[in-house]
Amino acid sequence: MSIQLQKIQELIKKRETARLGGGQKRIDAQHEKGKQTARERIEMLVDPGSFEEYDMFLIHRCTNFGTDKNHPYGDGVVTGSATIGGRLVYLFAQDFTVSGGSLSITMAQKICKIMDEAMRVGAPVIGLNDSGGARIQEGIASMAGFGEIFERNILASGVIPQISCIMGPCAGGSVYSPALTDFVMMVKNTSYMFLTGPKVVKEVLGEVVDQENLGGAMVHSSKSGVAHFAAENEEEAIAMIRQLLSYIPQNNMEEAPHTECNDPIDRKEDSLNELIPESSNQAYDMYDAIAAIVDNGELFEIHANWAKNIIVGFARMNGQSVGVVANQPKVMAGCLDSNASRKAARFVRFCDAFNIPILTLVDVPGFLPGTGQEYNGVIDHGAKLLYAYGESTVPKVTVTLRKSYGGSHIVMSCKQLRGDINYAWPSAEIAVMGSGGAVEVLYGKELKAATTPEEKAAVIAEKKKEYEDLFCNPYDAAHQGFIDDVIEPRNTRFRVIRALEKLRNKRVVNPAKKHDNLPL
Amino acid sequence: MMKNYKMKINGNAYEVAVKNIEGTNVEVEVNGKAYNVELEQPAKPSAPAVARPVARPAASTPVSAPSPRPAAGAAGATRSPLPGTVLSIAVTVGQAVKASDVALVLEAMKMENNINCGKDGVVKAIYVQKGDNVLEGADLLLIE
Repeated sequence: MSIQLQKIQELIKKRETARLGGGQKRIDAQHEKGKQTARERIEMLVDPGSFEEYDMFLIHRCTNFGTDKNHPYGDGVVTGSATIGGRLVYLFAQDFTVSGGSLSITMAQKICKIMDEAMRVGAPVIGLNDSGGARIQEGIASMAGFGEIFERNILASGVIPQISCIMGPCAGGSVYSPALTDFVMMVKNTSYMFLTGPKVVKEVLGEVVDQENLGGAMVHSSKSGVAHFAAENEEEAIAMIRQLLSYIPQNNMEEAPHTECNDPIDRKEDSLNELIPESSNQAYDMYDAIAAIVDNGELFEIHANWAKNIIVGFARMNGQSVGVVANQPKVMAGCLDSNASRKAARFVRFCDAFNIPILTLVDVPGFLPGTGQEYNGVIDHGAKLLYAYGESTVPKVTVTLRKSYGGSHIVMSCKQLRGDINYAWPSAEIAVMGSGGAVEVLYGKELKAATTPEEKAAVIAEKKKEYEDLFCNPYDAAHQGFIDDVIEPRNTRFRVIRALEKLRNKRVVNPAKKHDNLPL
Repeated sequence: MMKNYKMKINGNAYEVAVKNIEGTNVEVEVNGKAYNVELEQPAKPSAPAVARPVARPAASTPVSAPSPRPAAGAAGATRSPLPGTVLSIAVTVGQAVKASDVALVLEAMKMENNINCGKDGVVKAIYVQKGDNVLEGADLLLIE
């Protein structure tokens, strides 16, 4: 064998060693836990044969605690670029079989390299997290590694989409990189995220809680809102990442990919004419309205299990990606509360950062009253959504299906918050407050004068009707130009598509500033 | 003049001590926490003063608590997701229910809201009555 051939043989061998990560035994252990290895996950995620790995031979430089005796290639993370649906992405996948996927400064160096390149070329970054945390043997160097990654997460925020998928442990400082990214996905039963684990919680507070109930996928996707998606298994998580990518652009200078639309744009949906119940205090399912309006009835929902009184997600209108924000009258009357405001605000800001138009479907009775909400800072949280709508410059089309009252009317993309085109259904009730409350304020004297309960009830009924006839309809707003048109519900799809088409080249520029100061 | 009362509202136990009444100003202590309340009319020395303060502690929790929950009467009870008035109750004690069954209808936020049972099981207790005003997080019923 020639010397050159021997060298090539040596390379092939080294690659084989690197690909084995922590060795067959640990790979088997990973599989036994129902988890795939870093390389298997990448293979599932990207287009076949498209993955190009960087830094396969990088090794750590730590000498403490006997770590200098073992130098696994790649040092616990697989990084590189690939295509998904033909589009360039950068990704890293932590390899739990090497030192438990613990983060060394060398690992951080690898992750930073692909993030820097992704920023230079304007492509999304996907992180597949499966790590025991900091590499304690390295001391504070490991923390420096986290810091380097976080800083890049921050600088990349709003420039390129960043997606995190938690496929194993993610504890302590590790949680903050996903938290800084745009979307967090968690796999049920095999992943968890928390700042301090069950052991510390027990030591400090005496509270006994297991990993799943402290920071499992369901906890974060339904209670805390930290995770946007909870997947049944790794395959589903990977499929969700691919689907999510199809709705979002490569970077903040591009538009989301257009797809061919085979759903007629002028499809009339008679069911919408009958969607709103006869009685205004009966609920209906907002998903029915969304399904009838968007392309092929498809909504890719975000935060599906958290703050269900508002629905947010991606859909398409005539093949164009849009962000849908809709109140859900079926859950908590569709009111806005702290969590619903936070959920929608973050989504609206993502859409605005990445040039995705926003379709808002309104049926909101108001903000949820009570000490629970006020102590929780609902004023600030509500202000976030208000702010998000008001600052956004992407096309904004709003359809008021039914209720739109008071402060919540303003928040839900009203005309004055630079809503571009605002339609209302004939069933809309756009008013400053509900008839019950209004009558008490407007006719307090008359009500006090009433001597018997029957008389009082009669006065209330009469005045309520008077108020409702005057204000609980779309026409008071339409008379004043706050609604551009009152439309027949079955035409909504066509009207929204035409509105978005008109707004395609919308240009609005906000005043120059260092950055905003929204009420965080 | 100090009077002590023990009462149960929506399954929550309250110990109320009326400490001092001066005209319309009343000092009360509810579960060890002091409140100053004002009466609409000067009270006869009897005890209408307790009518108001008991409504307050149900909603108020220590300011430091991040997510206020009224003292829970029973662990695992189905709780009210929003404040409102009970319009009707669809289940009875001893009835077998599914998580998706409607437990009661709550009028709140200009809407009649169906409140689901939340879990499969048998209704062990119902803590509210038709016409009751309930607060966010109040126990509604216990299903086991």
